[in-house]
Amino acid sequence: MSAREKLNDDLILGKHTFRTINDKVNNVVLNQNSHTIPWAVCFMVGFMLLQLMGLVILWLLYRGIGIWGVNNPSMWGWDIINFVWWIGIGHAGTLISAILLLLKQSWRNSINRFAEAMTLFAVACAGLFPLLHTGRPYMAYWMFPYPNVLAMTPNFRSPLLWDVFAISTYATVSAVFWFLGLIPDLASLRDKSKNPIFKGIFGALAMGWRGAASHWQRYESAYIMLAGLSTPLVLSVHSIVSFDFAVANLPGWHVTLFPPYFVAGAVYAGFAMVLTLAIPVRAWYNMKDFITMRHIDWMAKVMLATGLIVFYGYLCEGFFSWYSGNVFEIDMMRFRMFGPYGWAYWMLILCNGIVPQFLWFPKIRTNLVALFIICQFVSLGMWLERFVIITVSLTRDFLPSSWGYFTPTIYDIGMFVGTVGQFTFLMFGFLRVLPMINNFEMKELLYRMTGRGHHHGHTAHALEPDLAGHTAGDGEEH
Amino acid sequence: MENPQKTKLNIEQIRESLADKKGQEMWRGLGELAGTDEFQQFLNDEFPQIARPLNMKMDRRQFMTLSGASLALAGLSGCRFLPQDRIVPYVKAPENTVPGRALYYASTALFQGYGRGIVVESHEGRPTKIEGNPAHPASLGSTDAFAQAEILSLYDADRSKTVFGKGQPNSYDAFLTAARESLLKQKDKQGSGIRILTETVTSPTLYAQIQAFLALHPQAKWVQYDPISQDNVRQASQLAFGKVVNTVYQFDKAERILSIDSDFFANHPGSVRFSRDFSDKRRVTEERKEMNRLYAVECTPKLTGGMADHRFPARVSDMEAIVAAIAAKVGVTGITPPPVTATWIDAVVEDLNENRGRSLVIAGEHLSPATQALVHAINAQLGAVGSTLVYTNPVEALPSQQTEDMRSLIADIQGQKVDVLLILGANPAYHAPVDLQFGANLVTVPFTVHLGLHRDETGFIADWHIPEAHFLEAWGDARAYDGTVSIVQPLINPIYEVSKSALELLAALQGKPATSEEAVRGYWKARLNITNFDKAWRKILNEGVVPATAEAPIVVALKPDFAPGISLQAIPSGNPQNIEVVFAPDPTVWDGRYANNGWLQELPKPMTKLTWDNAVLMSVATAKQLGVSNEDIVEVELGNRKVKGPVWLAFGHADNSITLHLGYGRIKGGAIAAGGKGIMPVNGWDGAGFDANQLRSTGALWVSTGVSIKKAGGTWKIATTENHNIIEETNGKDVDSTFKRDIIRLTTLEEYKQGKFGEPEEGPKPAGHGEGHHEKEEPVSMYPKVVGGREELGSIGGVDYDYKEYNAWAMSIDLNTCTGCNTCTIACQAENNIAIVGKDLVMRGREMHWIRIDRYYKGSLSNPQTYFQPVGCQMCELAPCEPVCPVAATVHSHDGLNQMVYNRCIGTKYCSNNCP
Repeated sequence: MSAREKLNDDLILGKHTFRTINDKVNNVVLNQNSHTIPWAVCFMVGFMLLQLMGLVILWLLYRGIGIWGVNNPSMWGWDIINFVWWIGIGHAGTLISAILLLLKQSWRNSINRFAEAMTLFAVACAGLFPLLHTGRPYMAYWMFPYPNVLAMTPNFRSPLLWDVFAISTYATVSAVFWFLGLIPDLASLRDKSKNPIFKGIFGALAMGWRGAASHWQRYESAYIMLAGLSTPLVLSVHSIVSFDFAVANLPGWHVTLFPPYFVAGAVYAGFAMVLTLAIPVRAWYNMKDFITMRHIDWMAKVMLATGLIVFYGYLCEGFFSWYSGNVFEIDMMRFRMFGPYGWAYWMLILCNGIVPQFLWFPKIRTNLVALFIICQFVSLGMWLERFVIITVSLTRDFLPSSWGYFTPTIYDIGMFVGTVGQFTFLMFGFLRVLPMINNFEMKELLYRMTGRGHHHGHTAHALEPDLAGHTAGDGEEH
Repeated sequence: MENPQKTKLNIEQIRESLADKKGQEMWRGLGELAGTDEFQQFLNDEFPQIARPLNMKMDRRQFMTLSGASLALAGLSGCRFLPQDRIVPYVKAPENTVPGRALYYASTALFQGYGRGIVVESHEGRPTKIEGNPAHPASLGSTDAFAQAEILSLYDADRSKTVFGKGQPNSYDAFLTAARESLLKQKDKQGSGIRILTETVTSPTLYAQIQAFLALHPQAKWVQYDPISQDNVRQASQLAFGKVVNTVYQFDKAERILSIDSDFFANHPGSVRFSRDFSDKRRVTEERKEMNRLYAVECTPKLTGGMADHRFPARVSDMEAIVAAIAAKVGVTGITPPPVTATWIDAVVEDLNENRGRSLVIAGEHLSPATQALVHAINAQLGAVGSTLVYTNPVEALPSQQTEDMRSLIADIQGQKVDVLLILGANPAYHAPVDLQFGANLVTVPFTVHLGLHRDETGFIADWHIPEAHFLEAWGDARAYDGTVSIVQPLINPIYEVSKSALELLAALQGKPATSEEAVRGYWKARLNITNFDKAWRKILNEGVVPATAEAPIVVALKPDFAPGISLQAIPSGNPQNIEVVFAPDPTVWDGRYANNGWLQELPKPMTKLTWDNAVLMSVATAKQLGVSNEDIVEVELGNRKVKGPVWLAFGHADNSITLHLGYGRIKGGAIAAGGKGIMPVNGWDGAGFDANQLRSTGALWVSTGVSIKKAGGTWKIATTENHNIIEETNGKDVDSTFKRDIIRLTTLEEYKQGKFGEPEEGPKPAGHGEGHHEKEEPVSMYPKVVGGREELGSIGGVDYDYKEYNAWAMSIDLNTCTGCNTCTIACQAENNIAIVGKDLVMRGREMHWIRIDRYYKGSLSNPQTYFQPVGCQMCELAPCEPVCPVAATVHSHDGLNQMVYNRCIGTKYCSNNCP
């Protein structure tokens, strides 16, 4: 990738027709030669780390969570930190798919597919932790309200139970939303595919999509309804995750600010991860025409905005712990800043507070190397944020005699690295077998931009049924 | 196959393996059968496949028949193993036994050879829990951590299970044969080559047994040796009164107490009683608005100093001068006042004098005889005798100078005068003074026997090792600190059947084998000599104590020349070049006998909060001067002997003095005692901690100057449950930082009488955090106010709590009287079967005690005030742990308790996180 690219206003660059878009997007899946060494390296590294995770989980199930660094008082450690981190990363996908769809932001079209995929894979990583961090994961189904002879229901007062519902709903809706959006593209792949096996698989997955107007009509209403369902989820999931802390009574956890600040942090981390993936992938697969500098610039701006909200949250935490006059809150903040984990707090401020300020400069927003580096800082910063919240509060609560120190073990690290592997593995596997860019929406966008047929300009609304015929994936335009 | 020798061997092996294993057959009494002809016959009947077919010639058909039949009958093999009348439980139900209902028996736990009455809970024949015996004067219903932990020692899997002869498993019969042979050889010499070595004996029955044995062998000698001996106490008594007397302190009568390096809360045969008496005087109630006052002069920080109103650190070497100064001030005749350098002495003496007849001075048992004699004189001068203390005849069966006796025993061994050495229940190869070279000398004795709970250091090198019965497995008796006799009543047959008590072993060696019950009962029948003995005996067993056996007070006169050679020099100011080393029993593993008890190993030591290790304890100033800090390994050299150990800072330790706790560095005696990674490998073995006995010689059992300490390089990680940061806090400018949190509320008695309870003037104003129950301004809270009862509680969490119909439980801890003794921690562990986790996991903060004792310091590092605060579950009314559990495993009971439903728990750990 070149370090700096020209900023322009176009969402599709180059001279593209429906056919070229179609070929380019489908080619990644249908032409196996399009995958080069970077793909192989990423996929293999991801696969190896996934195997590592498998080993760690086996050992974990055999030995129990004692292999982790959790202790008394630090009953939660990297497990919950990683859980919250991954859940947060997932948020960008849903935000892009749902909220930007409702707000009719056309720039979502080229990035929504793999952002959604990223959401799913991040949730898959996140979901492992709450399950495995219980002492008896084989009893985790007790958290569901199923009919049983004990006449036991789960405890609906527990934030962890809210988590169960929030995350399972989120995972389900995200998966359905993602799959629904894939159907027209799967049909296109079915039609283009020469290999009978692929044809069969894509055909089955396309669920009989023919591109009929009635299909498009139903598709669009279903899609917009799911977007409506997803929108509150963007806000609710991380709010509920933040309740795990805000509902507890620990100094540093018992903060009413948490829900909005967690949601902002999630979007922030999510966009950092989208950019982390988009910047190399668009170079490797030569998708610069579709994921343009305009996309990247806007994503960087979203990051800057949410980053500022998060930073404001940090300032508020500091201010209110002082303003409370409560010795436990004040001491907790003092320990956060100057205690044994002070390094983590100041690293956090650096990563999430200072470094993102560079995004004010257009030159840096369009400098892909700089942007990529900033995204890594943000990801690290968001991880540290959860580390600071969880670990400092747990090890510095009311009674000094119950203070402690948390040290991770290699199994903590193995689990974390393993989920990174799982995420990479799934992500690069996805790139190879499914269209990474929303094929038909790009063609629709092109249609609107070039004004073929009807002149709608950038604000063409998606529900217009006669658009469907042009983008039915069968290449009817040639 | 046809070799009869081989057949016999097999049966031997089986018998041995039978003797080793017990399990469900505990009541069977196989041991009495073992080795008899009936047993052989029984075995032959039981295992005909061993006895007969081995001599048979077998063809293929026969083989098939037999193997088919044995396959078919395999399930029946268990049918006739046990006697018919016992295999079905309770066909003839034992009296008073209802399955599921516990029975309680009075018994006696031994501490330093003295008895402490206990009541043992038994479920279906298994003892499960030890409590104090309210009828016993040394207990009054309480126990200490050692007694509580004995239940684990009983079930210790590392206990010796088999007789060992010359290092090989052998049988008790073989031992008896060999022993009788050796004793027979002594007949001509009237037993002059026989020595018996025991720990301190107070048991009347055992004493009678030993006397009977000595009557058979008039020239034999009996030596008592306890590493934590009371030699100095006895010598002091000789000095002061010309004879050995026993001092019975009566803390319930003392308003002013001066402790001279005494550890009477933990380290005395009467310490449980003393703690109770002290607390009664300490406790402020509606009726009694007075408190006793405790002054403590001490070197190593101990519970005494922790409880003291005024604590003065001083080196053990300086105690004599301090006591002499006090004696002179009090007005003991014959002592001219030395130049005094400590101003506090005047104030203390004035207070003691003002409370004549109500004051008490108690000296540590390790202090020099002259010092302790001076304390006798001071007590006489203060009118304490007859009021706050009484003298009685000695309680020990035979008061002796144990170290001297041990020295002459070694001299006899070296002079080849000893042919037979019976060691009953002691481990001198580990704990005898190092200059005696006990182990090396022991192996030169032709016939040595060791009776012990573990095959420990002594058991490994003795010719014969016999497993000792735990005190809950055999009958016995013991006397308490005041002479009261209580019966050691067993709760269970020996778990390892070959186990013998000292009584049984001695009886067997006298050729009149008797069970321990016959011995004890027989002794008391003869001694009490009353008509209806059976009834009286049942009453004694029921109550645990033999009535009217306490020693009566005697009147003793102070000798005029009681304190020869008391050096009236000035109290030396610290000489950094002359550091002293102090030896003390460990607060949790004592002299090493509890080293294999995991509960006690993991129990944080009351002052240092160390677990699994001992350390070189020293003051902050001394550590600075030596240039060392916590966990630095130092080499301590005394004479030409060296040990290496990690440094641990003990706040309030006297400067220029170090303390080494005994009982660690075991090389044998169980996986916990000797299986850990110790700091100082001995002979290729490395036990936990280091062995301070390596520096302890007969000349300096308790204290020695002239020790040199230098950094040995490296550090040794110590598992402590104390948080380092508290120390760092206190080290800085903000000494009382933790007090801002309003954890410990302090007030003087005067203020308390005026209704002040130590609320902080500007303390935390918790906003709904469940702290601060006495806030004047109620913080605004969204929760309803909880006072108790249905109205206030409403329907929190959808549950109505109505305590009008049920009991609402409550437990309060009087922090004013808590001595920090740790007994509650072990009692909780014993009652609730709490696991231990080991040193590594303690270091990772995973110890599992349900009650911990927090210890807070206030004031300077050189002599801080200590406050203990036991922390258990507070059973919050609106408990933060309850709403956060997703599966409702943490619930509120109808009678107000927080309950954990283990089976429902899936382990989210949220309850613990949310516990304030």
